[in-house]
Amino acid sequence: MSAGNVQGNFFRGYTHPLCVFRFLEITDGPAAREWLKRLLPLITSEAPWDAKPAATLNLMFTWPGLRALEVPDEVLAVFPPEFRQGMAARADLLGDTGADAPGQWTDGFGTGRIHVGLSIYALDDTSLRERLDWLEQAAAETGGVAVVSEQVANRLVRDGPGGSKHYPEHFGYSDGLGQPAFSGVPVKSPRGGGSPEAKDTWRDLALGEFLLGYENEGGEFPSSLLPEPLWRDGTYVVYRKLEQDVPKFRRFLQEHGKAYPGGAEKVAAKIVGRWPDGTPLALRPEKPDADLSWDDTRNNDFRYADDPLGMKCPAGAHIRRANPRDALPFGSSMVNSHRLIRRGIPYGPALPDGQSEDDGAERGFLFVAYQTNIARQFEFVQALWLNDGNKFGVGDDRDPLMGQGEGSGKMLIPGAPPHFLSPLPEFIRVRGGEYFLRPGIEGLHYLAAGAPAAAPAAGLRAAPRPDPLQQAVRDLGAQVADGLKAFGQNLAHGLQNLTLQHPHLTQAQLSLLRKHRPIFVLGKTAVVTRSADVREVLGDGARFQVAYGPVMAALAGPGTLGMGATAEYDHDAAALRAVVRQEDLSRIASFVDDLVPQLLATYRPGGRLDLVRGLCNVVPIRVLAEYFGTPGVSEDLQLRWSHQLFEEIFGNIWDNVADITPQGRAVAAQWSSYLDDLIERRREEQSAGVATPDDLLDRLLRQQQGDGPSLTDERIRANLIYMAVGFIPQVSKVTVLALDELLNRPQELAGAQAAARAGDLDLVAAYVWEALRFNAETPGLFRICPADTVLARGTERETRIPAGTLVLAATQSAAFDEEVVPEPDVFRTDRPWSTYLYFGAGQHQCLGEYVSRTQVPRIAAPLLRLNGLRRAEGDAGRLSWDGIWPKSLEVEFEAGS
Amino acid sequence: MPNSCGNATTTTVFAPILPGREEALQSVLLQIPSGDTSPFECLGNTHFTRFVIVDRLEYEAAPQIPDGLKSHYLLFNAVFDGPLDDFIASMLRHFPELVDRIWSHCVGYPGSANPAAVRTYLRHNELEATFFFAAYGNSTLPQVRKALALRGRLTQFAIGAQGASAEELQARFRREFAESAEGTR
Repeated sequence: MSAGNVQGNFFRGYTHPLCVFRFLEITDGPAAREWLKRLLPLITSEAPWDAKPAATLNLMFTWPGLRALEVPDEVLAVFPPEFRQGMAARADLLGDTGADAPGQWTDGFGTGRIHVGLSIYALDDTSLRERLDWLEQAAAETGGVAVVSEQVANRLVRDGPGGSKHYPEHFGYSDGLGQPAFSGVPVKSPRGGGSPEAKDTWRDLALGEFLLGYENEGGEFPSSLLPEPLWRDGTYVVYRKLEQDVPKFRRFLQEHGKAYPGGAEKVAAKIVGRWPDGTPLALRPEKPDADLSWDDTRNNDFRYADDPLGMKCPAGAHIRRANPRDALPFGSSMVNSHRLIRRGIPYGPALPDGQSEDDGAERGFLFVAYQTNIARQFEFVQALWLNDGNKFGVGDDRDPLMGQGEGSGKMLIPGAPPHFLSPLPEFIRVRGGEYFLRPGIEGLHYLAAGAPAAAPAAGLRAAPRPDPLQQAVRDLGAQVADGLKAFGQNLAHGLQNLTLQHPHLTQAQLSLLRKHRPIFVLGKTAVVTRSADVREVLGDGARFQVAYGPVMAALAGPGTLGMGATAEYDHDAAALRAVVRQEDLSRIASFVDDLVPQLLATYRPGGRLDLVRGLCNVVPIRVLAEYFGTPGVSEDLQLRWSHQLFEEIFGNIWDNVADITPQGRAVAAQWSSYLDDLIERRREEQSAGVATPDDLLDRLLRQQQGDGPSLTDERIRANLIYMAVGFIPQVSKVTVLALDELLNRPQELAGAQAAARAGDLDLVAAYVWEALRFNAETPGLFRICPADTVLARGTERETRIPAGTLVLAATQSAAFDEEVVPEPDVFRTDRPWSTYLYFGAGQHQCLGEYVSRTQVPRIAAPLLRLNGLRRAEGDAGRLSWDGIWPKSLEVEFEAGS
Repeated sequence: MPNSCGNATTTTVFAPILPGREEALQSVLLQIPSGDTSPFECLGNTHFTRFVIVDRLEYEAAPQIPDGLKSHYLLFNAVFDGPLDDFIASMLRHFPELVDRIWSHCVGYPGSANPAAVRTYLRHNELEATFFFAAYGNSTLPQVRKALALRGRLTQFAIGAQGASAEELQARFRREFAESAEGTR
């Protein structure tokens, strides 16, 4: 956590006496960004102060506000639903009904017009006035924002010994004593704020419960789908204006104080769970203790488990509901993910002590709470803990102070005899509120710069990624283990699922493995993630064998791809290499260069194209027809056949012939039969002296007449099938994935487009292959160890791999290995080709590598030259899947461009 | 028997929604009244039901790769007394047209004209619970309702009798609950 990137009043609460909230509407996006730029230097952060600033400035934004600032739709769409909807839309859930309903709200709340919440805390009136004047001047100069409403607040103060202070609210209770304690911040919280643990200890909560970008109690990183500047060091804010009817509350206390033994002050204590001076009832059930209340080391250090009936602190008391500590089952695990940092402040004049007649003044409390998940934190607490009592065994009793909605209208104070506070009126009325995002300082810069262009913009420090944590490694282990155990003895299916689904292993998981378990052996499977080790596995076909042989043999006969390091392999591979010639590449290049513009031309008038069906699937099939001489029965069948056999061969990682499906066998038979016919016809044409095209089929057949190594008809057929199986689906998929990734990256897309327009194909290729690194087609390749072997011998990673282990050589991970890939998280177009391993390495390095490398950038370049290339709106513009295969991804461009 | 707890049964049906039908389905679901006027009320044995349209997966880890679903799904969960087949039959008897209006937006729904096929369909799409907890698994819905009503009465009595002397409290209690006490003897 970088304190300088966190807006102030977060882990250290401001204590300035004066406060103004201003709520603004953005009337013009670009002008508002100019306005925001002016404000940036004045924003108060959590960086340590030399002296307390005379006036602070902080900003937060509603979802409509981010939209008004022209944050792109695809970013807006990934905010959590409750934030997108806003507080007013959640009224039923929150119990904001009747007099509390959004229709009754004031100050512009719930109207959609509040876009920005601006807060200023000041030491005195002069500083406050100066800051407000400055802000007005800035807004007048740039325009773009208009004030919707303003809220003045002022702290109430209760002085204690040695200059210590408590900050009560209008009902008279010292407030803010029970803040959460969390890790990763340079302040020490008083005992009792964290998670209650065994032996009377407290554990700091995870920072990610309150600050975005860090692991939370559940091991998650909330909102991390957003562009990093928008979440890094930000938080979500719940702001609620709660009007307090203090005379009514005091009359209620007086009335019940007459019947309840202990009087009005004890009723007040039972309602809240603390005596008004802050002394917790759990520690002092009979009377307040001033020394204790002023002692920060003790006044929050208490629990409820020894008081299940609530004889000391009622189960229905406010602080026991809002933070049940250890009162619920399973320790505090049901509580820890429902905590809030509260930074509220009262507004309006205090009602003089002892007065209980209505004075007509408006007063109340500005509830301000920080969290990383509004639904799970504020909304959960309000709806399930404050508005309902079922969880605490008090039926539908609501919180006596903060609860809303219908309830039983009573509160039970346990005792002998018990006492009912009934009827229980509402003392608080909700006057309005909003949900805000309070970004980090970088996030404010990002918004000011105009979100789309700013994503990786210059001047923004690239924040370090969250520290990988051992816990997450264990979770991953558990995940893999679960996947495997679920299938009992058949361990393979677990890993098969991992590799065939897309997306598969996440970058985070791989990064954790690289760091903590670079060679991760679990039962009969292993995952290898460091570049050097991946290369060792792929480079040694004897110790790490390919696992496709028997299945391939059973489908369409043996092919080189499935063979071990044998003489047979050497012979067949030599025959194949002899017919694949260097000069073929330029022929393929010009074929693709002609084909792609033709394909695009048909979509040009409409300005819309499905990248998958209209382009990426078509090109490799046409190249195959031209270069291999095997057009297939139809293009559609050619595609389906290759998908089917790919899944049969590469999805069947234990190479179990019994797992071949009937469809797989049928496809192999049909394809073989089609090729048999084709071979027979071509041979007849050759012997008849007819001019035949110079393609691989032709060369392989003529090779049979020569002296060098050649393939039998069966092997020709099998290898033509397997090359098509490797070639068609993967060329298509990697092209789609690379384009999909570029479409997510405005800056890189612009760079690739410029390269395409300048005719710099090498640079286009660099963009495409680098994009694929971030959107990998597969996590890696499988190999099987025939005998015990040692991997990474002589290094600290040295690990014994038992015979029969299935090894995933995670090429995706190797391309992010910090050891050999500089700045792995940065998109760079100057990386050496050896970074990528897209075509494997070693014996089975892809035969089609050069054909593919020639082809893929040439598919992309003409597309990138189109003007205004962008995703189509809505779902059509998102990549959809048919199993493991891309199904559609529609793009739009300027018609006729 | 992970789908049952005492007398209570749960079912979770996870059915793929036909492409493009999400909005139509949502409007059907939003029109189903809840509470006392819910159609499930007339079944007389339903503790809870809920419908959820699952349109995306939230996955929170950084750096994040968005995860996807092959389809949008309708999740239907219910807790009720008695076996699942009886519950399905009861739905088809009481509101077949509503069942059709909901699941006709899902892939492969056969239609209520063929109740056996509907039962097969729902069972086919059912996810088995791995752990099911029912708060009142050993009580039927009418028993739970009766107990809640009694608790409400007792609470009101206690509030009304607050401050009464022991003798008066006993007398009032007998008056108020004499009939219930008779009933339990």
